Amino acid sequence: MSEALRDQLALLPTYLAAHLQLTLLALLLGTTLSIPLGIWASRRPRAGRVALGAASVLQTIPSLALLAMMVPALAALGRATQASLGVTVPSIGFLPALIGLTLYSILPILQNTVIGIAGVDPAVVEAARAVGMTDRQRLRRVELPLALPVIVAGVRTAAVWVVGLATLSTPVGAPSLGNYIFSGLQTSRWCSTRSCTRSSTGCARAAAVSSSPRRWSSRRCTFTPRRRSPPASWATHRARS
Amino acid sequence: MIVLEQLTKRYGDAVVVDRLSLEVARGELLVLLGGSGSGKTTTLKMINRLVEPSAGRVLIDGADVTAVEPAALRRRIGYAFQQVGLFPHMTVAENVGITPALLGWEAARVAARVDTLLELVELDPATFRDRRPAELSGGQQQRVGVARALAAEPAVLLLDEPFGALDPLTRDRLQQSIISIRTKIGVTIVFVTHDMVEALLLGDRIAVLRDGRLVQLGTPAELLRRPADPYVAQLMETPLRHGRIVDALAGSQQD
Repeated sequence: MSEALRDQLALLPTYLAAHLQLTLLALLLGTTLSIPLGIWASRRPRAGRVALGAASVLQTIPSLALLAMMVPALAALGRATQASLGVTVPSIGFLPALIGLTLYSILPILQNTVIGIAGVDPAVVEAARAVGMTDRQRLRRVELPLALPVIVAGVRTAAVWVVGLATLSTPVGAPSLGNYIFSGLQTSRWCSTRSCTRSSTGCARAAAVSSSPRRWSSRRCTFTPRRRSPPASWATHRARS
Repeated sequence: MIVLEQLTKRYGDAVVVDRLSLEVARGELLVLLGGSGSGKTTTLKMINRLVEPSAGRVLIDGADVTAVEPAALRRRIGYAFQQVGLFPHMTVAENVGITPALLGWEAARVAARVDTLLELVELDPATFRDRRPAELSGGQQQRVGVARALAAEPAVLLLDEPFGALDPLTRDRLQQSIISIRTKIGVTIVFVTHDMVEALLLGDRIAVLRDGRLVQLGTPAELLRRPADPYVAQLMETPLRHGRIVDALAGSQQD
């Protein structure tokens, strides 16, 4: 093993931990935002279309641009809070990366929550009303359990995306496996890029597998991701193949 | 027992149910008979507020149904319909016991009630209790649907073509079980169907609906002998003609 490679591998635990921390936190935030939003959206079809439209627009922003935009946005927010409350908001590092990735995870989870609830057999919904369930009981006992496989499929899609996209948080100042890619590109030393590809493939695979226990087999997966390819998307592609 | 007063339902300009008034006596089985678009299902759903009327009102035992929360009202009224709508993620026992569970019955009482009802609809409790709806035939699902509707000992049972889409033999057996269930428990039933023979066999009285209006209300014999208008006469003609044909065939066989 060359010394260069050994140096790079020594950084792996740090980068991997940061990458996973960012990914898991973004997914957790995305899920806690999107599932209630999806439930709300499926109760109010018109507002639901607006919410889904907004999430789709977010998704059309190239991921690198979305993360980059967080920096000036947070800087402006930081100036405003400094002036009014005397509190600063960090505009580079973990926070812009976390917000960008969270926003990116919303669409698949939101959309699958809406689709999952809408996909429940109307006869079953009518029966739930007829046996005397309140709206909340119907949601908790019937609609959510039946929509669960579709919602889980959405979380899975989001997980695979976010694991790949988290590499793009390096340019906004949050360390991740992307550090290998960007340092490799800058120095034309390809061993670092290779280490990234390998480790993030493993990482994406872990995410895909861990989020899909067999009993939640997503037999009704309806969401087909439409995605552009950011530089590090090899990882997710390989993980899915 | 059940009183409909000038009950009306409009969707935009379309009048689906038009100033319908009728009374159902305690323990009676009233059939709402009509073709598709006659407003029979909408009328039925206004009784348990799955559909809210545009005008008029429904009284059960003298009390307006809008006086209680819809969920509380529906726990007192059994409802079974053609699509059945069994909860696919629950067992047969959980499906049948859902309304008692919502009413807060003790688990042991629910379990005992489930077994009684499965026996009533002629499904062996030990065999079927823990099955999922997907493991049942169409006829068995319909039976579970009827059992679920009866679970919380309702005084009123609403049935919307509960035996539709079944083969004739299964249908006949389920119709017989409705008749036997009626003799065992004195429940008031409103039964929606478009099947004239089913209406004649099951109904104490039949209300014929057309375009949301009540055309005739009477016993099966009255409808057969004195149809109020050509539409009712035409409806009654079909089962009579079928009966004559079958009689003639059976007669010629014996010769």
